[in-house]
Parts: sequence; C-alpha cells; structure tokens
Amino acid sequence: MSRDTTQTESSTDPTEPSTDTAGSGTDAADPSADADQLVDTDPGGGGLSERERRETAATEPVVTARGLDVYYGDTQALDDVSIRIPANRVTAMIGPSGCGKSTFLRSINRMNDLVDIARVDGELFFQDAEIYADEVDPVALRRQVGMVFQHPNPFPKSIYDNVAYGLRVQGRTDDLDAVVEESLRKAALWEEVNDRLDETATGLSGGQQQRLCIARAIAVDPEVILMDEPASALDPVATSKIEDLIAELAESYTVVIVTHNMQQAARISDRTAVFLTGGELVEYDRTEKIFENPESQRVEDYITGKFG
Amino acid sequence: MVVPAAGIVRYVVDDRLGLGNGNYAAAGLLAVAVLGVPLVDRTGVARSVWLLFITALAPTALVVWNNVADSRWPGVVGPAGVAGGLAATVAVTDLVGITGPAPWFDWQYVTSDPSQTAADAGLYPAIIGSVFVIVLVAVITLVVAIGAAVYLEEYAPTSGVAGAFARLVRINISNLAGVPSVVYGLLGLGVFANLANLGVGTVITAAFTLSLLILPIVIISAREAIQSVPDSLRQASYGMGATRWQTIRRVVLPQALPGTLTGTILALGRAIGETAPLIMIGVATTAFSPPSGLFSRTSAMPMQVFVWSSYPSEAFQHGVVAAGVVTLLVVLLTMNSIAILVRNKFERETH
Repeated sequence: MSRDTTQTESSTDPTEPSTDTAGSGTDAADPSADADQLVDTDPGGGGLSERERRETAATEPVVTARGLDVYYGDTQALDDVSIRIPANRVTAMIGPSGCGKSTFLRSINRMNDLVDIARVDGELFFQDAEIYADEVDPVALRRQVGMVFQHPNPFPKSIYDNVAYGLRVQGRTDDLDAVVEESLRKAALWEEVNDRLDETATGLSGGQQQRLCIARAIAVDPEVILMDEPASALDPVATSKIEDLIAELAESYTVVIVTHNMQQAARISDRTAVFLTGGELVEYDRTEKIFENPESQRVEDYITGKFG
Repeated sequence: MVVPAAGIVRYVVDDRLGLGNGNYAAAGLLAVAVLGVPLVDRTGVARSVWLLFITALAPTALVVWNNVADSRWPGVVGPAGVAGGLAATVAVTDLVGITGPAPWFDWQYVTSDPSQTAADAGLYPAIIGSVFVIVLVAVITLVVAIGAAVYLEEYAPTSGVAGAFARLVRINISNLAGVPSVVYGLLGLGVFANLANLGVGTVITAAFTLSLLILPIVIISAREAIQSVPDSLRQASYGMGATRWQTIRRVVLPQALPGTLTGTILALGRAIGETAPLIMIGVATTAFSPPSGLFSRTSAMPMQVFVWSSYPSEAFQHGVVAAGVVTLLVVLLTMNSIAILVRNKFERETH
C-alpha cells in the first residue's frame, strides 16, 4: 500500500472514449473523472471522495464502470455500479454470496456473453474502449483480460500444453519454450515441474494446478488478470503461495480479485470494493480505510461480522 | 491363395490398427503371416487356419497387451478364457479321440463366390460388399453426427423461437432412434435410389441408408459425450482468448471423442447385421463379384445368409448358413476390437 503514495495523480483530460477494440490506452484518462460522477451508489457518502482521489488515485484506471447494471433474465445482479480500477494494483471485491462480485468480474472480460439470458446496461470501459460496444470482439478483449477461476481447471493435457494453450490459439508460437518457462517461473511453479513438463496437468496438487492456471493466464501477457476466489478451494499453505504470487503479479499486471475471505482481502489488496446484497457497490476505497474506518455503517457491520 | 489373405491382413492391420501402433506393427504382422506359411505347411495345419488365426490373434493380442500394460487385469480374462477354451477343445478331442464335424467355415468359404452346390459355396463378394458399405457408413456417420451434436450442444440457441425449434429437433432425434429399420429402407429407396439417382442396390445407396438408420443413436451418444465435458474447461479456454471453434476443436472434441466412438461402435454393430433396409433398397441377395466402386451393385452378408436359408438342401441349411453367420460375427468382432483400440488410444491421450 505504501506505493500508492509515491505515485502522482494522472491527468484527467476529458476525452471521449475511442472505439478501438483493444485499448492502446496510454492516455486512458477517464472521460469525466469528476468524483461526484463516480459516486452514485453509496447513500452513506463513501466511495471515491475528494480525499481518496488525492491519496490513492495513483495510476490510470484500467477498468472504469459507470452506472453498470447486469440482469440475468428478470433478476438484477448488479445495480448501478460505478468504479475505477487502477493499473498495477490489486483490487479486491468482497461481499456476501450472491451480491454480484463475480458478475462484475465476468462483465469485465465479457464471460457473461456465454450466458444467454445475461443483459448489460450502463458503461464499462477497458482502458479507453467501451467493453460492450458492438464492434468489440470478446475474443480480442479476453486476450487482454485474463481470468483465473475458483476451482483449478487445467486442461487434461500436459503441463507444457496447458501453458502453451493460449499462445497457440492466438497463433503466437514463436519462442514457445521460452514463454512457457518464463510464465511458469512467474507463477512460482517452474522449480516444481521443470522435469515433468510432459506429464498430465491433472496429476498436480490443487495448489500447483491453480498456479498452473495462473501461469496459463499470464503466458498470453494480458493487461488485467481477473481472479474469482482463486484460493477458496485450497489449503492454507497453497493459499499463502497464491497470495505471495498475487503481490508479485501486481508489479506487472492489474489484478482484480474476488474473495470471500476478508483477511485475505486485507492482506493482499491495495483497494477494496464492498458489494452488499442486491448487487450494490456500497463502498470502494483504499483497503486500509475500508477495514479501519469505513464510511458506511453497513460496510462496518459486514466487516465486523454483524451482518451477513 | 495366400496373396489375397495377406492382402486382407495387411489392409486390416495397416489401415486400421496402423492408426494406433505405427506401420512397424503392420509390416511385422504381414511378415509373420507370409513367412509363417511354409513353416505351417510342414506342420500339417491348414494354411487357412493359420491365416485366420493370425488375423484374429492380432487385435486380441493388442487388446491384451494394452490391458496388461495398464494393469487392467479384468480385461485379460476374456481373451484368456477364449485361449483356454480353444486349448481345452483341442486337448479333449485329441484325448478322447472324437473327430469333429467337417467345418464349413474354412478358407475356401471365405474366398469363393456363391455357388449352387454347398461344397463350392462362398461368401467372398458379400464380405467385401459388407465391409465396403460399413466403412463408408462409419465415415459418413461420424462426420455428420459429430457435426450435428456440436451444433446442437454448442451453437444452437437455447431461448426464443429458435431455441424451441432446437429443442424440438433434439427430441425428435431421440424419436428417430426408435423408428423401425424397414422404414429407413423405404426412405433410402425414395430419396437416395430414386430421387438422388444413386442407383438401386449400389454401395453408396446402401451406405447412405444405413447411415440414416444409425445416425440418431450416434448423435445422441455424441451429444452426451459433449455434455459431459466440464464447463470449467470451456470457460478456461474462452478466458484465454480462444474462439468458440478453437475451444470446440482443442478442448471439447478431444474430450468427447472416446464417448462418441463408443456409441458409434455399438451402432455400427447394428448396421452391419441389418437386412430389412437392404431388401427395401434392392441390394442383391447374391453377387458373384465384389463391388468395384461406389456406384456398383453389391451384396451383403446378411442378405446372402438370408437367401441361403431358404435353399432346401440340408448342406445349405445346416452348413453354409451357419458358416455365414459365423463369418458375420467374426467380421463384426474384428471391427469392434479395432474400433475399441482406436478409442482406447484417444482415451489415453486425453487423460
């Protein structure tokens, strides 16, 4: 968290979002970065206050949502969510089950497209490209926004083929060996598997499988890595390895992590967003502030265990 | 006499087994089969017995070897039982001194053309015809069934009017699996023989008709296999920027292939024994030469057996017909063991 303070605030030049599919976004300024526009979810006055922007709006936002609603059929899963997720930070999403954390995560790389009845309203930008614009190819988007799932889901192929999968489907097969090795090293798995890359990935332990899934996700060099409760199916030792890994990954990638474990959110994240029942983003702030002095009474109740 | 036999051995081993075991096995088996002939001649065993032995032994031995290699001991029980039974048969007849009845199912039977005299009668054109048709059926069915199943499971809409239509199609595919085969025969006669003008009783008409007959079963098994691929694998693939087709091609199909092949094997077993649709599309009961191409007229084993069964002579009734049935079973079992080998190969690759 200390690195937040060392950054300077990005310029907020109000430009219209371009329609590029995969953001080139070096000047990814939020089109209208007035704080009051960003905060329209929280009746308690939390969210992005003026002070918060000064202290921690340190890097350019990679993912920006404004008034995002997601429906599954008649059920509303996200209600008017507005958030700016900064680059090269770990942003945690916490909240009770069914509150829309995972839905938000899946909106970012359009995995909700795979659900026929899902419908998205509102604005969601990746860098300066609108994610749900007609001309955005979800395949191209997912190449920029990688994902790690709750349960380790390696393909029933060899370890090598698992890591190489993303590169192969994208046709980036130059120097495959080197990229596979580098990805496995970044995922802190190389030492454990370098002598058995040809063996099937399903023979690894759960923690190793999850790190393999992370290696697989970073092999294609995305901008953002979404993690949907990546450690919830793992034991404490494996969890601790994954957490160390996340901290390292934040140096080169933007990490958005959904977790049920509030201690985990407190340990690893720079920013925390608290979703509560009904798909409402109640408070979004620096992690220290959320856990030590939340603006909203409901958030405090949730974090201290008085509420659900 | 040895040359066509060796050719068959070569065909079976090279084209079918060669998929899993490389050409060395094929060449080796061919060499053993041919080189063994002079040796066998000296021991007094008939050449035909030797060649049949080799043909039947090869797939069995491979199955046993695979089972032993994977430590699947129950899988060895079947072949071991067969081998033990054969040994016991030989030993008992030798010890007790019974001479068995003269066998009708011999090399002459397998290589000769049909004849009016029982002793000269053979099934060769019908065997080739049946195998030709079944290989075509297997190819047509697999391609169409996998295509249909992939569409229904991965592409077809699940909601709205189109979704309702897709649901109707799924239900009716299940219904089609229960339609009597003679109805498919009529359909084949109307559509392929007359409408498409592929000819009455030709190889291609028979292949298309039998494909229609087994398609529902194969589509259902392919759909089940595709459904059983975990969604998490699809999501992982999409999450890494794979297109839908890449996901199907690289993740879903390799996982679903063994299950699909199982359904296909069962269905082909049904197709090779079918008689009713073949009668309807005018397949010849007796042909004196094997089919020379897709559009040449053919016979099939069940047709030939059926017509022989109406011959009055006892030699035909009790000898030739029975031998025909045995031939049909041997071809069917050989085909199935080959298909199972192919399936096992895919299973090992994906797990």
